[in-house]
Amino acid sequence: MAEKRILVIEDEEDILSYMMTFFEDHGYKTLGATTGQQGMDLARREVPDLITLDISMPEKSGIKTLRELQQDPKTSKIPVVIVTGVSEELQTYIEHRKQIKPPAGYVFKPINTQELLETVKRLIA
Amino acid sequence: MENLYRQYFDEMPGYVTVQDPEHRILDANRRFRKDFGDPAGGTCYKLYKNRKEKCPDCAVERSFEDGESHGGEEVVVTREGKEVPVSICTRPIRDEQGNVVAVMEILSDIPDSRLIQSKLSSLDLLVSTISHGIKGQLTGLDGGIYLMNSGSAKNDTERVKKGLAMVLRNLGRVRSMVLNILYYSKDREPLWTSVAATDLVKDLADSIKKRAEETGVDFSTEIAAGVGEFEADPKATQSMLANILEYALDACATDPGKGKHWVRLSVSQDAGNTIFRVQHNGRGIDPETREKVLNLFYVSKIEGAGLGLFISNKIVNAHGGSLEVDSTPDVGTTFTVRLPKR
Repeated sequence: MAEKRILVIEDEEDILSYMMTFFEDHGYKTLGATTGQQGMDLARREVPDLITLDISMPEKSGIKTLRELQQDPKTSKIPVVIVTGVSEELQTYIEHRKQIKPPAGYVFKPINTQELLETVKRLIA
Repeated sequence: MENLYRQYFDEMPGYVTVQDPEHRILDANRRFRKDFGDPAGGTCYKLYKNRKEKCPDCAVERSFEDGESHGGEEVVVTREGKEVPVSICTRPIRDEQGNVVAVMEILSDIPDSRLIQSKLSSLDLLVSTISHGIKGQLTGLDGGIYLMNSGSAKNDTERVKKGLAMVLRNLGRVRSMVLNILYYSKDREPLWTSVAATDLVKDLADSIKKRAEETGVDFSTEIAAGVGEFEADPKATQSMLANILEYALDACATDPGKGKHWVRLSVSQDAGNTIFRVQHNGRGIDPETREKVLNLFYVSKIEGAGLGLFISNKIVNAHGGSLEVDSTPDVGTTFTVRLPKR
C-alpha cells in the first residue's frame, strides 16, 4: 500500500522539523510549508492525504488558509488537523464563523504526540 | 485684560501648545515649559517624542486638514525622561477669513482609573501572549528531546546534534522571554554610567554571531570613526539592542522569498546623540503594523511572546531617547535608536 502523505504547515522551523521527523518515523511521507500561501500552493499541487495547520502565522493566518483549502475543489476533501498554541476558545470561534467548516481535528500545543498520532490514524488509516 | 487671558492660558491644566502648520510651537503654557523647556520654535514631535518627523495619524495635522477638532491618546516623554500618558484634544484657530492658521493642542493627564483599566487589559493581553509563546517554546523543547532520543536509538549522531541545537535554541528563547517579563513587571530607573559604544557593539556582535550563522544570515557591524562614550544603563541598553537584533534575525528566518539575508548593526554619534541602527533585508512590516509593533505586545509570530520590541521601546524611552521603525514589506526594515549622550 502506498505511504500516506502529510503536509505540515507551520511557520516555526523547529516545530516543523519536529513534526515532519515524527511523522516520517511513523511511516508517513511528509511535505513542509512555513507560510499559509506556501501550504496552499503545495496542497493544490501535491494533494496530500492529510494537512496539519498552524493558526498564528504571518501574512496569511491559519484561519484564512483553512477557508481557502475548504473553498478550493482540489483541496476541499483533504482532512485538516489544526495544531496550534492559540487557546481552545479557537474551536468556539471557528464554529461561529459561517464561511468555515470545523476542521477534522484539533491538537493543542505543547503537542501530545500520542494524541497527534491517534488523530492522524483515525483520519487516514 | 490681555494679561488676564495670558494668565488663563498659562494656568491651564495639562500641556497646552499652539502650533503652526509645520508643527512648530508658537506658544506654550507654564506646565509645558516646566516639563519640556522653552519651545523656541521647536516642533511638537521633537519636543514631545524626540522624533525627526510627524507622528503618524497626528490629530493636529487632521485639524489643519479639515478644520475640525480631533483627539487621541499618546505617551509623551518629558526632558527628565518621564513617560506621561495623555489624552489629546485639538482646537483649530482661525483668522478673520475663517482659514485655520494655527491649532491649539491640549494634552490632559489620563486619570488613574483609566490607567489601571488600561494596565489590566494590557496584563490580559500579556498573559495570553506569554502563554502562546511558551506553548511554542515547550513544543520546540519537546522536539529537540524527541530528536535526541530517537537519534540516539538509531545511532544517528546528526539527528542527535540537531536535537541538541533545538533544545538550546528554545531554552534561549525561554530565558529571553523570562527576562523581558521581569523587565516589564517593574518600572526601572536606568543605572546611569559611562558606556563605550564600540564595546557595546562588539559584545552584541559576539552574542548574536552564532545565532546568525545557524540561520544562514550574514551579520556585520559598522562603527563610525570617532564614536566615543555616552551615559546609559549598560545592561538595559544591551538588552534593548539584543531584542531588536533577535527580531531582525527572525524576520530573515521567516522570509522565504530572498536568496541571501543580512543584518547590520551600526553606531555613530552626532552632537547630541549616540545613534544605533539595526538594518535587515528580511520580511518587512506594513504601515499599519509598524505603529503597533512598538506599542502593543504584538504577536507577529516571528518569534516568542512579542514582548521584545515593546521592552526595547520602554528602555529607549527611559533613556530619554527615540526608536523609529522604517520598513517596506518584502524589502526590509531599519530600526534607528537615538540615545542622548547626556
